[in-house]
Amino acid sequence: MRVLIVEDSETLRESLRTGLAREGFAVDVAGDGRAGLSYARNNPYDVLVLDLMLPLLDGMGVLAGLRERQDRPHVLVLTARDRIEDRVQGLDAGADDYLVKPFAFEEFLARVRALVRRRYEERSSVVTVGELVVDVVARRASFRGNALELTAREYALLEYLALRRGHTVLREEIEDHIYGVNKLPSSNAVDSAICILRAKFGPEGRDLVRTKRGQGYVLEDPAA
Amino acid sequence: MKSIRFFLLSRLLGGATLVLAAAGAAVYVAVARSLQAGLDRDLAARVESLASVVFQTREQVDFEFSDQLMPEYGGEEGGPATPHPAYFEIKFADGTLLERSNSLAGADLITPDEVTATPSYWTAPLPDGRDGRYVAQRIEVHHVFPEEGPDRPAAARLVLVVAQGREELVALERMLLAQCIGACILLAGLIAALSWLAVERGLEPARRLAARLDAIRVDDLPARLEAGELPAELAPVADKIDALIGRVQTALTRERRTTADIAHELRTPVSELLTVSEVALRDGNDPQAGRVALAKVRDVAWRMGRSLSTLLKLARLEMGAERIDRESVDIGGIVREFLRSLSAAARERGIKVESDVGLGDRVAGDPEVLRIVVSNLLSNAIHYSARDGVVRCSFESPNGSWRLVIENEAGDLEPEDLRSLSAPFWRKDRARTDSDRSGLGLALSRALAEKTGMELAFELENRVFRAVLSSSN
Repeated sequence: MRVLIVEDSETLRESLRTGLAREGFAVDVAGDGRAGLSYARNNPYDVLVLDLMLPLLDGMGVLAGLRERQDRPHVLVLTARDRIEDRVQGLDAGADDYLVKPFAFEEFLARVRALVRRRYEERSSVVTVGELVVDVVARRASFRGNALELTAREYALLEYLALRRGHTVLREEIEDHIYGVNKLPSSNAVDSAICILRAKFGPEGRDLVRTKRGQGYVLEDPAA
Repeated sequence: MKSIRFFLLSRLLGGATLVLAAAGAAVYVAVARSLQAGLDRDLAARVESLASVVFQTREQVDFEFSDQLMPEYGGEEGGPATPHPAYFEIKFADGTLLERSNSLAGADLITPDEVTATPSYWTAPLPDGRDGRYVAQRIEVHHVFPEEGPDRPAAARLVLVVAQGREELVALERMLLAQCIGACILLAGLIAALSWLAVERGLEPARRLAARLDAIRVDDLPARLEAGELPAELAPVADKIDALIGRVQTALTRERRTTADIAHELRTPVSELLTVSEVALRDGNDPQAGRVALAKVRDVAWRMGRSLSTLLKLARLEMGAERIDRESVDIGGIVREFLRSLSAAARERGIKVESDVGLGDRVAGDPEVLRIVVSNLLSNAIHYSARDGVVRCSFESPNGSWRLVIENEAGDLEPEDLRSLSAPFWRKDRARTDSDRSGLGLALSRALAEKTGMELAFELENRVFRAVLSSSN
């Protein structure tokens, strides 16, 4: 899942980036509103974490700039403003959630995950595809009852495929959602990751992720 | 004065009682004198009527008295005495008795040693023991026979003493006294009641004012007192209270804004501390990441500590708890010292510093205060000046006053920003991105300047910003 953090406090920005990256998110950061809007307009983010008081262009300006965009990310406003009217103003301007500073990182993470699920219209925190179970809250996956040992990047790939289950996912989409702008993978990085994933499912699960030649990949229950 | 009501009532009633008592006494004395004058006139008439019945011939002086006409003198000798008899005695100038009233039953009346033609009156007990009023007068016999001719004898001179009881006068005086006292008490009561009503009515606006004040809540201060129409004496009080409410409102608003600003300012560093530490804790196996996180925590805590120290100093200044000294201070030395310490920052931003403040330029003030103010002004000038710009310091001290001017290129500062410059936490960049600046430096500097009798003013002219620190003494 790909997240953009637009926050002017460098310490906070970098800590959030580190924390989210360790959870397998692809994270991009921007220190002012103008750069943030540019990033958000030019990349397919799942979640935008947005501070309101930003230099050059404030958070409201960023929200206004994204209003017309069809595939805009879900927005988590992160701000020191805690008045009811500030929250109402932020939500009315297009924010999907509001978190007042200071906050617990666990709560921040839970809200980001909830926004990811909302983006893919997934109400449950557990996604089941045949005998594959992906718990997006616990960030665990199991096949036929056996836990899968996945790296953060592998889990992120599996979670993205699970949330888009039944749909063909283009290689470019996977690159966009799993890797940040500054960490572009090698040309076969996605294919390699899919290959590793299949290997971890074992022989019985090899067909869970099917290759659609010339298009991409689809995660579905082969027995269905 | 414990109570206006008590004060007014006691003074009004005390004054009214004194006036009434004086008026009553005056009326009593006047009427009593009038009554006594009436009694004296009665006695004089008695003297006149007795004198009119004395006749004189060549041989003798005779007294033609009719007991029936004047029964109060005792009627016939040995006859029944009237309940309130009167008395007279007529003597010749040599003291020889001519006649006395039967009521005296042979007793003497008091006769003064010297009796003149002018009647003299006095009060003394009567022979019957009653309180009496006397008159004594020397008269010449009116009826002298023969009335004309050489044989007419010289009119004899007689001394008449007449006395009668004063019981009626005393009774009248007592009644008069009782009526005067009664009237005074009645009037005093009436005045007390009217005074009470007047005082209560007069104090009603004060009660209304008090009720309005009582209804005011600190969290909902009105713009005006609105206690209705007030008398001229209380209107200035209401005006002063309105002004006081205004000042309290301003202070509260400033206090709330500062509190909100402090809370807001602390949110971001506290978020930084929380996030850095939580993220580091989630990956406890990476010592390098832990060290980086700890360094960040230290930096953030250090920054917060600086802000808190400045806030504490501001609070102490407002409470008057900060000690201020006054001595001759080498301001040139202070400027040079801070220009030296800020030279690296100036070089890094390509700032050229020009200063005509010389060593030995001295001012009267608190050295610590001057160090804080000068360092803040110089640090701000270098930090907010445009890159590759010029910061100028100049000092002048005409006629015992002095002015230190620090100027730099204004950047994006606008004239309307000058009012907010010394507000706590104000920064031109609303995002307050610059975590190195607390937004408290100018607030502290202005508070310190005001506290020590200096003035810190800000000017903007032709895109040049000037901070002017001055003192007129």
